[in-house]
Amino acid sequence: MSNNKILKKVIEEIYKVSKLNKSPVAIQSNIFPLIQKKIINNSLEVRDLMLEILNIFSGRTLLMPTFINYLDSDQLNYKTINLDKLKSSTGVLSEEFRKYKYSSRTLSPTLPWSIFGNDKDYLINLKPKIEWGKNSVLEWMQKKDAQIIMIGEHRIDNVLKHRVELINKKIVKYRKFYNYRRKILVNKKKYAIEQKYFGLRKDTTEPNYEYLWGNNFLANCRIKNIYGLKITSYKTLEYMKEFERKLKNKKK
Amino acid sequence: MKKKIKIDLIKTIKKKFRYLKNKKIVKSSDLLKDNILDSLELMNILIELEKVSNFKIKNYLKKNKSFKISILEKFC
Repeated sequence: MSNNKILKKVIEEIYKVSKLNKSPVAIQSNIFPLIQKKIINNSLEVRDLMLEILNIFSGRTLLMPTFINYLDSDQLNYKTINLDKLKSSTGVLSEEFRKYKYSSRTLSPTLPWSIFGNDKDYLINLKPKIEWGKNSVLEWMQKKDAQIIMIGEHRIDNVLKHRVELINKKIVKYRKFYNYRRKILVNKKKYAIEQKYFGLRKDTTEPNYEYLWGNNFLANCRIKNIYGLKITSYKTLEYMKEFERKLKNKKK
Repeated sequence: MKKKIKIDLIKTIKKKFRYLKNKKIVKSSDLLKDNILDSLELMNILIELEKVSNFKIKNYLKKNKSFKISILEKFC
C-alpha cells in the first residue's frame, strides 16, 4: 500500500469513529508509527492531517491535551509560564493543533488543553481550584460525555484516569494534594494561578496501570491496526466507569 | 557496508538543532521521553545516522523502545 493510501486509510478510520456520536471530542495522539514508516515526514504533513481532523469534526468542539512536562522548578516557581509560546509535550499532532490560529489554550500552568469549536470561550476561562476537579476540563468532558479518540496511544495513557483517581481520592493512597502558585501568560493575558494538584507522593511511583486494567477492558471498542497504529474510540463515561471498577477491585 | 565510526550524538544533535545548544543532554538522556526532540526531529536524526554509519532504523526499532543516547550510539 502506498504511503498516501495508508494515510487515507487512517483518515477514513478517524472519519468512521467520528460518526459514532455528536458530542465534543478529545483526541490524544502518538503518530510516531506513521513517522517511523515515513508516511508523515514533516510538520507540513502533520498540519495537513490536523486540518483533515478539523474538517471531520467540524461543528463539534475539539480538544487536545497540550501539556508541558519539561519545565524545571525554577521556571515553574519564579518565571511566567508563557502558554502562548511553549511547545506541547504531548506529540507533534497536538503541537500543530496548538499552533492553529483558531485554537486556544486553557488556564493551566502545565496541563493545559488546546480547544477549537463552540465551547472554546467557556473552556478557556475555567479556573478550577483543583486540577482535574470541579470546573476543570475533565469535569466538563464527564458532564458532556465527550468522545475520546486515542490515535496510537495506549488506553492506559488516557488522562481521564486522573479524574477517576481524584473522585476516588480516599482509596488512592499513592497520591496526595500539593498546593502551588504559578504565573502564566495565555491568550495574551497574565494570570496568577493558585491551585491544588493531586500529585504522586514523593516516596512512591505510579501504579502499574496496565496491570490495573487487566486485559478485558472495552473489548468491543473499535480498534484497527494500521502498521502498528491503533485508533481507539470510547465515551468518557464508559471509560470512567470501567476504570473506577478496576481501581476499586484492586483495593479489595 | 559502511565503516564503523564513533558518533558523538550529543554534538550532532546540538549542531543540527541550534536551539538545543544550552540544553543539558547526557548519555542517559532519552531523546523522546526527556522532551529533547519531538518525533519528527528524532526521525530526522535517525535518518542522518543511517546515512553516516551502520545504524539501521528498522533493526533498532525491533530491539528498542527507548531512544537513549548511549544505546543509539552503540548501534552506529
